Amino acid sequence: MKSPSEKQPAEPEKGIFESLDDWWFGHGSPTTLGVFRILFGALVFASLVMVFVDWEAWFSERGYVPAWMGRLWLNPDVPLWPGWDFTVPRVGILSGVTNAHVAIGIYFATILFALLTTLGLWTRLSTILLAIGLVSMHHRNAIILHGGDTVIRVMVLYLAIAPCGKACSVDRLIRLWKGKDTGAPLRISLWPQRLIMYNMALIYFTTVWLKWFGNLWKPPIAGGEMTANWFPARLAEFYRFPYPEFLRDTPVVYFSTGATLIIEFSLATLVFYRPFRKWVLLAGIGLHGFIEYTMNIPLFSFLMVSMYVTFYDGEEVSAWFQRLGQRVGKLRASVHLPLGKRFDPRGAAFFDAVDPLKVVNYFPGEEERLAGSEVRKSWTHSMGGWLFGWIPGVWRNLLQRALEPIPDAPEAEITGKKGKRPTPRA
Amino acid sequence: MNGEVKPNAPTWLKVLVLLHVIAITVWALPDPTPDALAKKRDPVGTEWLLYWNHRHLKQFQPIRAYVSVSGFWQYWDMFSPNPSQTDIWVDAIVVHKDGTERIYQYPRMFLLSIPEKFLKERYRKFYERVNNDQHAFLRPVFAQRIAHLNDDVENPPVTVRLRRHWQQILPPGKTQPTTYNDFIYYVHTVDQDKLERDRKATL
Repeated sequence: MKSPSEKQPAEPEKGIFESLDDWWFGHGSPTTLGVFRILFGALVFASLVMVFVDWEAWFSERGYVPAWMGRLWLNPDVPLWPGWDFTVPRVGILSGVTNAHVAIGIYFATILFALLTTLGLWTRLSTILLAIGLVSMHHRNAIILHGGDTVIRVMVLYLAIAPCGKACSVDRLIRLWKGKDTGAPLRISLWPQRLIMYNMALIYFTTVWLKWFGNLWKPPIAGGEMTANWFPARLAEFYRFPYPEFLRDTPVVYFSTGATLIIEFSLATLVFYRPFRKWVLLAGIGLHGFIEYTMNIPLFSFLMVSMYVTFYDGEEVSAWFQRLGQRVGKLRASVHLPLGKRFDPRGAAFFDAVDPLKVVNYFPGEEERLAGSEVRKSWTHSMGGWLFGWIPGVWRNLLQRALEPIPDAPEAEITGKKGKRPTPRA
Repeated sequence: MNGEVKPNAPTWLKVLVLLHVIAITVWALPDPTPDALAKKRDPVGTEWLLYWNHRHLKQFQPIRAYVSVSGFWQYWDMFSPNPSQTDIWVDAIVVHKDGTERIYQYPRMFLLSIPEKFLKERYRKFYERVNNDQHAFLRPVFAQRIAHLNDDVENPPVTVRLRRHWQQILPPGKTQPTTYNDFIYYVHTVDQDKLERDRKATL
């Protein structure tokens, strides 16, 4: 018997540049970018809707920041080269706009594009227009922006250049339905995902570096006091939910201050090392969870944590969803198709795609027609089905149109999606 | 192109990605401490790198133009280099034409309900900037908006006095103050023409 090393020749060891090149520009599943698009798109949508509450205060001529003030704060034209008079304008279709109806129209369009981005409908166009609208809003009034807004702006720009509609999107479902895509896994160049990862690491790295110049973050051994977390916990303007007093008192603040610095540094460095990845990201979730609970910094923690998914390959994300589906028995459902019917290939691919948890199994039934209860089970258990299933008649129509007769079926043959599941699950 | 593995990316794309990574890194790197920047003292340790980055790379106009125009500009200074140690909020004394005075409470997070805090945090961020002396040019517009919010056609506001309230957070082991200091730091004569225009504006 041959040892594994004898069976196949060992791959020649790659140099550092080759490895980096592979990492940055290699190909992989688009699922991660699809999931990130949904998470981030929903957060951008929420953020934009929140602005609406005080839209007049921030974007109208009688608000705190009229158009001329926005231009004064952030020069709308930037010189391109030292000594040149030639300037380039910032992306800013709202720059100098004083007509409230035009401004609010652009604002509502931006919200619409955030929604379309989340759904993954006309994704390429939607993400580009969302980026233009959102960057324009930020350039119109940068005085109200906080860290979370900057995360949103930068990440929306990455979404605009990423093929983030290739998976987990309405676009993908339409292509499957029309037969333009088959159910076979797609592969994309991963450089946009790598840019997101890099930028996230950059956020943590630079903030830790800057903290090192303060005396409150560093430990006494490095000449600091390590009491930084004492202060924000006492700023009444940041209070949110109550929590035990000892958590904001010594000695816990020494520990939490040090832990913050270590976790942030790890999120910039160790997170790229696979054996540590999960633990570093869990620590990051713990850190941001605590911040979210105790401090009023809206959406920031959610935005940061949503980027963590990009540290996983698409295959890992898909496998995670499927494991979740297997573990939670309540999610599973058996759906009976009409007698003698099964999915045609595009239907099988479509209904496989709307069920990322892989919890819905389809079997031939005894009835001539699709029972209402079967239709309901089908869409309520398929996450992708939530998009359309609630519209009366749509899901039934999709199911019926995706079926074909089973040729020469002698008896009730069990048909699974794509024919890959020959037996029903118990 | 299902199942088809494309070749690695074209060279031009790799060059663009590399330039982008350099640009955002240069831009996001922290600035050295003000003392080092003003040459009051030499930079220390890694600060030399930041000093050099600030003096040379960050000033390189094409990098400035790229990050500024595209929207990739970013700087990450949350609670750093030290977290704020001062709790600040503001209200305004609005004086009307007949001499009556009314206190206007600019949205103060501490007084709001949890959902309101979530929606209105931008007010705190905005005031953080208005309060900064470097941004004193924001104050007239800030006060004028407060005048608009307290407008009364019969008895319009004529003066707005901005009043800052602050409380210093002391380090562990010291008795924390329980009251806030206050100080009127800006007096604004209301622009009546602007007030009239704002009355007529639909939005």
